[in-house]
Amino acid sequence: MKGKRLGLRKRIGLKLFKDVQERVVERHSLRTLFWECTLRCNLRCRHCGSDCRTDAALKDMPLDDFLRVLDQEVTPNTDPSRVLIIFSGGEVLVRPDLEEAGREVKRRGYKWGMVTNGMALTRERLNALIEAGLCSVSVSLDGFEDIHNDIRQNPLSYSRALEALRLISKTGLAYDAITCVTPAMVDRLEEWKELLISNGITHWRIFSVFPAGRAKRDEGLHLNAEQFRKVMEFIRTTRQEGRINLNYACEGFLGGYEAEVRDHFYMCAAGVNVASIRVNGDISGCTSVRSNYTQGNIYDDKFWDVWQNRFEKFRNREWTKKEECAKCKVWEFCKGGGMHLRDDEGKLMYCHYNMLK
Amino acid sequence: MNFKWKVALLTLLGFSTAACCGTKKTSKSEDKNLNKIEAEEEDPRIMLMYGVPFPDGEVARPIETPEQEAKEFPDGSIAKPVTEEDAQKTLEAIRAEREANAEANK
Repeated sequence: MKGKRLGLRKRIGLKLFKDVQERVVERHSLRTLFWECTLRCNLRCRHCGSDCRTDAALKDMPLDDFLRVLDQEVTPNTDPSRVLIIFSGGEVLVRPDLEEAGREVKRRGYKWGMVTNGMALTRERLNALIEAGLCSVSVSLDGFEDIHNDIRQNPLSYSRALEALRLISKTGLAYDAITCVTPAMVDRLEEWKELLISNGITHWRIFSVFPAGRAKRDEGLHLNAEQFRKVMEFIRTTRQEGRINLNYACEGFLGGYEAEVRDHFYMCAAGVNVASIRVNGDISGCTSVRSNYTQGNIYDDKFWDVWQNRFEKFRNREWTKKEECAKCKVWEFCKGGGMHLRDDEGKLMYCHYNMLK
Repeated sequence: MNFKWKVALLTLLGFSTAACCGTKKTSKSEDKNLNKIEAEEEDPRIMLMYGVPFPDGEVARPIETPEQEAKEFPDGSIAKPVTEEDAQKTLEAIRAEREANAEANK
């Protein structure tokens, strides 16, 4: 099975899109701010990119520290209504003050959302979070019960996550189910889609494992090229079918599948219009980017000063034009892939485009 | 080439959603020219891997009671999650329907 070729129309489209990208980089308006509010987690997933534990070595960031950054650095320099704040972890629901955090963020004019494994999302908790201004939520659901529970290493994780999604789907929240597709799921995606649709789930996102955290050591979770192409074909045909809103995540340039498996052309927005404040105060792009790309720390630096004057590696990706990327014909569209796919030395760990050749 | 022309060309090529640029919802009372500038300045909405969908402005409502929840699903089947077996049956029914349609179209 060969991947889809990058045709002329799409090539022209991508060349034109380069200009859009350049303008976004030039503006670098902060549009999404992740707050890694905890590294504690009530699960111990095999594919966890954060390597979370039940009792994280790092303490949760106090809410006041995050609010101080908002009040002193972000709010004076942005229109809060245009910045989406995402609470991430770890598992955010382990924080008992999550509702208070949401209320405070909402009071300042920001919209906020969260990513959860759904384990602790009861009806009461969901209602409380909605009252606190929750606007959007993503729940991880990695496949059928045996597969999901095996990855999540907890026998209740599947039923809790599915129940959480069923509850959420009735509230009017923006939401999606996120499936990390592993080899065991590739040939069962059609069946899995039917299960999601039957349970009233309308929005779905797929991604695949990338070599970071615990996932790096667990090769049984990685897709081979053939499986990856199958996943792309599945997403493409499902989108054409139009029964469920399905997207592949942002993580890599997909050649001929660009604009067919997700709503947008590929672009790594980390550090461009996306920033994160990690649990120890580190300032970076997305939370999945490795720690040696940290640009500052809220306890030592002014967040806004860091946002405006650093992030050079994120905004000018010329440095990625080395090794296999140096001679790649699509580098101009891909700019060396997602920042989270670069290791500590800047080497590309995984190339989606190569997988689809 | 002017940036606006490029955006127009992207739309002509069928990439308006893929390439651009969400527009900011603004109230009617705001200045029309200002709205135009705001719309142009909006970044493409990239669905981040560990992110959440962009809120579409719809107001979320809490679920008040289990009874209310059940009422929203007239056939009652949603009261418990659909199982793998159910999904398999649905899938088989869909496949059978497709095959029947294909046969009829021959």
